[in-house]
Amino acid sequence: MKQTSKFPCKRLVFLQSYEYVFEMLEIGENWQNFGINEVITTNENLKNYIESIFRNLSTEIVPVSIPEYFKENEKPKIPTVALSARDKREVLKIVKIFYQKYPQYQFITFRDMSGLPREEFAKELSKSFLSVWVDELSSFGTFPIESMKCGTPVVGKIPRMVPEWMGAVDENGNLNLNDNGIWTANLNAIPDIIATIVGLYLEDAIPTNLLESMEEYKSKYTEDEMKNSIKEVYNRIFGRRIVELQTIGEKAQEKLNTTPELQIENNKK
Amino acid sequence: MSNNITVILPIHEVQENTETLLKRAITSIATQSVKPKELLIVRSKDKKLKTLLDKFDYGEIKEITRVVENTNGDYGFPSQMNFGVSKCDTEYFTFLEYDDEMAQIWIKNGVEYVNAYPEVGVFLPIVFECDENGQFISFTNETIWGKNVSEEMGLLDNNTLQRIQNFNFDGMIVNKSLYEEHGGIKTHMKLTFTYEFLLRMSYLSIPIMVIPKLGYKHTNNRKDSLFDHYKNTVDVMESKFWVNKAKKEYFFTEDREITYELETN
Repeated sequence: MKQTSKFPCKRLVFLQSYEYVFEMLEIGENWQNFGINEVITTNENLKNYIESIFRNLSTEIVPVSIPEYFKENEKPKIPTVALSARDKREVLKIVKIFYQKYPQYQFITFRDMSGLPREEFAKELSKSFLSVWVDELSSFGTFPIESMKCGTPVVGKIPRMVPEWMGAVDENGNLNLNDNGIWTANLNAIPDIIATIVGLYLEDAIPTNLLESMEEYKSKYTEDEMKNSIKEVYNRIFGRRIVELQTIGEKAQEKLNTTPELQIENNKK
Repeated sequence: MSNNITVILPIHEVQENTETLLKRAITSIATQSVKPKELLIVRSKDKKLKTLLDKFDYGEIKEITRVVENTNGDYGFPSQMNFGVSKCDTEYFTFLEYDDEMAQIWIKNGVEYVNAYPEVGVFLPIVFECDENGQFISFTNETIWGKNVSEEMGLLDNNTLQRIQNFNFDGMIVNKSLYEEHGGIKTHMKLTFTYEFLLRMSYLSIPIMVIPKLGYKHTNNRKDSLFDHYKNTVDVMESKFWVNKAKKEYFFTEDREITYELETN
């Protein structure tokens, strides 16, 4: 940001995570100090967040898209839990507590999904009967959406910034969570929640409202939506840039017209 | 959801609480979320039993219930089963002991898994083992879904069976023609007929899958049940004999005559 501040071009920020906004800034510095006032981000929450920090930003949203290979498996689901966590120690803790408290469920397998190639990741996720997501610092969270598209219910720790698909805070400050997953603020409750869902899975009794709410997300965050959005956003950005350049050109022309030499020449004409 | 599964219910005598237990078992068939094509009750020639079954209120599954008499004179569980299978008209069958219960979702899952895995010949449920009061004791068959237990998760293979013996085939859903072609359950195999059957099927490369659902509620060592009888009459040496016998007999499809004799080496 600082190194490119003198570049003769328009620069904009791609913002996917609020976690790194201030990482390269000194206290008191902001993006505008370095000539940046346009941002592309992935969702309304991040837009609101960044606009509340840096004033007079122009923020566009290009929504996240999930590839079509995140889809339901043709075979029935297997008793495997897919895990996704920013901090791997959290994963280990959940698994250890689960096996300790519920020895009758030793046959449940946990699979850490990190590091898998994307298509294999999607396949494994679609096989699992449950997934677990722990990412305190997440700004959006694609993993739960991927799970929903695979028809795999998600148990998730509510992150600091509540994603738009998870729920919303109303005018009274109450958090209203959607039914599209099992969301908890208590990390320590996750092993117990997993055990409850295992019991329901074994009896084919996963709540239908959960499955129905997940179903809605199969048609959301598609690649087509993202492509259309990219076209619209870049059209607007280029449109603004053209106007900017035209304005600069006109101003430069005016400036030229007002130089003494040019005025003399114009007068001669 | 249409299906091609018969439930075989073998019963050979009337005991003190038979009617109560039978009612519970039949209710568990009647409340299936997907009904079987037929409930086939295989009875002995016991007159008291015949009367009980003739008068029994089968409720809404009366139309799909058929009672047949086992005419071969052997009313042991394997024989009753084999007779039932010979009378069954569907491609797959399952069975329910009259003192157990089938989970409401079992036939539905059977249909789903038969469609998803047509290559599988035997589907076992996760069995909910309980005492006579219905209190949970343990699960059976579920271990096969654990990591590194069998060669392929969910599938029971011969090597795994050599190491682990306590699988339970109660409620299994079986392809009828494979069952008959490979000898059914052996009538001469006392105590370990379940084990021998599973060993033989896996040896003959018939895929055996555990459906990861609670499909069957099995009452453990109910007084006067077959295994209660074994518990009281079979000693450790004889148990070992039958386990070893199962490990030798599974190579043969033929139901060879076996008599217990103390092994000297």
